[in-house]
Amino acid sequence: MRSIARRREGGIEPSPEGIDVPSPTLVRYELASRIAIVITFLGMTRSLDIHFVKEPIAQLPQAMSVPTIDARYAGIRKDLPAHGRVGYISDLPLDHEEGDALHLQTLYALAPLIVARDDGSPGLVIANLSRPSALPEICRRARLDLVRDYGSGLSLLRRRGAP
Amino acid sequence: VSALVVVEATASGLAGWMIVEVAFGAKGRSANERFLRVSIAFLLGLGILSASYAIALFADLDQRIEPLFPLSLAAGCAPFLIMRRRHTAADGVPASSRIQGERESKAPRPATLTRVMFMAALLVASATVIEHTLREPEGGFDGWAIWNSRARSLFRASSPTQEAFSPALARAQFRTHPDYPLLLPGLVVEGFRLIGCESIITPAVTAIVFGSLLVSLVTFGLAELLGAGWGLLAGSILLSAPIFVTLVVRQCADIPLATYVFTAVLIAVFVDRTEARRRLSLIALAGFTLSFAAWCKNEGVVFLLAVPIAFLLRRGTVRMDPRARATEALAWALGALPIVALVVVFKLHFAPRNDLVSASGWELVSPLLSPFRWWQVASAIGKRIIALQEWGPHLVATIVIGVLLLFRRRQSMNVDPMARPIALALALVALAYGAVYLLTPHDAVWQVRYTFDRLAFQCWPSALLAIFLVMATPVASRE
Repeated sequence: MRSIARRREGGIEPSPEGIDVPSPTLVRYELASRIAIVITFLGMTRSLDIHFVKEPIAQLPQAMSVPTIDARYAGIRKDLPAHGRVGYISDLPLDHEEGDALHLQTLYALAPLIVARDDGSPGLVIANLSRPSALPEICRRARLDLVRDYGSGLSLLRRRGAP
Repeated sequence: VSALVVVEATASGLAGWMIVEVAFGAKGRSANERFLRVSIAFLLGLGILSASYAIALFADLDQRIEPLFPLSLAAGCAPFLIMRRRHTAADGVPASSRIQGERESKAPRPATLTRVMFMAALLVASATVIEHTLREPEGGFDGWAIWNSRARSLFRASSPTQEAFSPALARAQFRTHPDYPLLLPGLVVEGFRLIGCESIITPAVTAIVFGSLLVSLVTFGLAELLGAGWGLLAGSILLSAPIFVTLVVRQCADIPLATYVFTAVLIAVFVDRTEARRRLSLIALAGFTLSFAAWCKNEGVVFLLAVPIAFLLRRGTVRMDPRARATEALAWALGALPIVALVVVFKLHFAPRNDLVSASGWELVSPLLSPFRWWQVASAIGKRIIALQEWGPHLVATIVIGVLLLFRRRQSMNVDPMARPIALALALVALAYGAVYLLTPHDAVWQVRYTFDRLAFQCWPSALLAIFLVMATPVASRE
């Protein structure tokens, strides 16, 4: 077995003419190269298709101008304490993908503030809505007053009767 | 703080380099080997930097203390390095690591087409990473919701251990694994401190650095083992995998995890090709490297168990007695010990309970007896493999080539003995992941859909290494 390693390490065998030539391998290097070229070509084509065709490169400047998560929450962040806990309410259920993602965006933007599902406790509540028109109904049902509307469904509310 | 982070990062890199030099022995012989060592040292340096941050955090020490940890590590390595160098000089061994014994650069030389292919793959991967990072600078869901959210909590909090690890925050973030360790968040916090502010560029750069290191380690690692031609083929395949670029731009921790696992496996393969007196130090280095996988993600613990077990059971080129195996087991354990201790402290004192172990007893194991659950998981995995959406042809090709080589092996062919432990390690990991899919308290199909590609990628570079070792087995080895 030791000789296997040694010969492999050399990767060479003397030919009858005494000239060193690469030793043949289980899968010939040339065949491996051809397979690798095909896989690499297909992979590159797929990457180019995803990143430059399906998401057209011409639309990149437009995509870059879309506000980042932080931009959406910059306004409300100024009006909230840096630490502690605030409530969270949404018209999208938190145990569904979309609602969960929106809630996690809030946690990411406002970290380390604890933004927990509204449980009726007094204090500030963040409303993050997919349909901003639903805000008055949500406020009425949950006995909340509007403190400030930041647009695009994001607003800060306060429990009625809370200081 | 910026100057301190520069000192700490430099000291971490230095400590990484000294550990690699001590383990490998004398100076690298070729440019290829030197690049490989620098890549490993860089990778370890990043892990050491993150660990230093975490030690100071957990012990509630002043930030100014942090550089002392990597500096102490470097100082501790210095005498060993000097001894090694003297020892090597006294032996009359030329300045070379002799990893490869007598191998000279006569293995298949890469053809021009191979070089062009590698450069094209590098160019396309770089262009797509830049394009997508500009398009979505905050990264993917995992990037911002898990890793960067945690990094922000740690960076912004006035009392990080209390605020970032508060049970109330963990409950609010329960779907984002608040029990995950801190390798990535720690590095991102150090990056914020380095530039003096929060920036979405920091995690993006961190992800790109790990991606680049993986390419470098795969290419130089396989070049060192099998020759430059094979190295470039492996590097091209990695670079052209759509999933690789996707995980880099999404800033997922699966890239660092795959990098640490691949590097540990690579070092373990070198063990079988080096002189006996270097074996234990290389095994300890492999253990140390692998321990950072456990500091990266919970899945790293599975690799931390599977890889040493598989390599301890190996039948290498040298026959081993039980005592030698026990010594090797000790070397793996000692190498991994410092970072494993850090993970244990984190899990015991700071991390909340994992959501996957929320059930217990019969409730936990009952899905194993449900044929419907088995079918659900198997069909969901099958769909992910053949969908080609994230992987392109790479995963299917890897599986097909792996199976073909397995059949070929049966024709009384002795393949590289180090391919077997890699295959065994990956099989153990696959078993563990399969069990988690069956036992998950969440919807199994949902779990497979959102995690399979990333989990498969954690294993993929190491699987490539095993496949290349088998493919490049000289046919002269028929015995």
